[in-house]
Amino acid sequence: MGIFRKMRAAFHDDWCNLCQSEMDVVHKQLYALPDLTVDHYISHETADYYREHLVPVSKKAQIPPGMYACGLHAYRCPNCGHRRTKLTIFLPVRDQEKIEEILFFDHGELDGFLYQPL
Amino acid sequence: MNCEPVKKKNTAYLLSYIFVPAAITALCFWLGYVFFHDGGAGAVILFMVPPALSILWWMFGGKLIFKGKRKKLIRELEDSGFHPNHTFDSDGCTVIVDIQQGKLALVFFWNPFQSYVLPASRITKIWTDDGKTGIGPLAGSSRVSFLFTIDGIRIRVNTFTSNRRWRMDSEYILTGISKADMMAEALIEAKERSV
Repeated sequence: MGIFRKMRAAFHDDWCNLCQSEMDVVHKQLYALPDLTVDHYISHETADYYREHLVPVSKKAQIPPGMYACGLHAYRCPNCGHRRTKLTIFLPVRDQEKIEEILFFDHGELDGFLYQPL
Repeated sequence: MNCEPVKKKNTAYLLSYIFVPAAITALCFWLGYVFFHDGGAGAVILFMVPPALSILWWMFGGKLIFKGKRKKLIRELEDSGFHPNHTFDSDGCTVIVDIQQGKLALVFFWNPFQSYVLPASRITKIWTDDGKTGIGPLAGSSRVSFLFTIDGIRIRVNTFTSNRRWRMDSEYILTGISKADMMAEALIEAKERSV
């Protein structure tokens, strides 16, 4: 694998960090974070926090003003089978988004949460 | 619960806040001139201490009074069974909303000795103002606020102010709009639940 591809992979969230292939999105969901409101944002880096506090919503309009939202993308590499979950925590403001933090979970920390029966 | 009309400014307080320290300073200058014409410790005290205290009073006095009255109001509300779902402190006014009971409490910087607890049904109009001026890439704002009218009196609460103009997609403006929208939503909900 060329060094240039490795460098390019560093700028692509959806590229596998093991084999630098483009990963497939296997799951996508928008969540509300009722625990976090505007001006009271606290960074949480553990998967446990998100397992407990994410509330699934179908569209952004369902999230009340001032409440943080989280976009979840679950990726799977078609070459090596590596899986990665990306959480984008943002504040929805009318038709815009103020991104606060982007977190990656590469060791299946959120698998139980993602594939839990409804 | 207050029934009297809301007063954002207490004129007597406003005038005394500005002119009483100025008058005391002028009096001390006159006393210093009359009794310590030749100088000395008395002259130094009379000519230096009152202006310094006046400046400190103008800089911090109002803020301390407002902060104290705000704390007192919050304590009183807690004792009276008011559930503060949303509290917003701005430099000119504090708004506390109890959504369940449909009430709101107000205290103003220029009228700190009078606080108001009102049914939210007295609010006639609620809206947010993003302060946007300019078009396209030149659009920007230096102030974001939410506004409401009570008995025809317009109350503006700033959620963001700046001495410079910011792009509409800057994080300061977005945070200000989010806060304003959240408070406007809380007021609308309280008004709907108010009897």
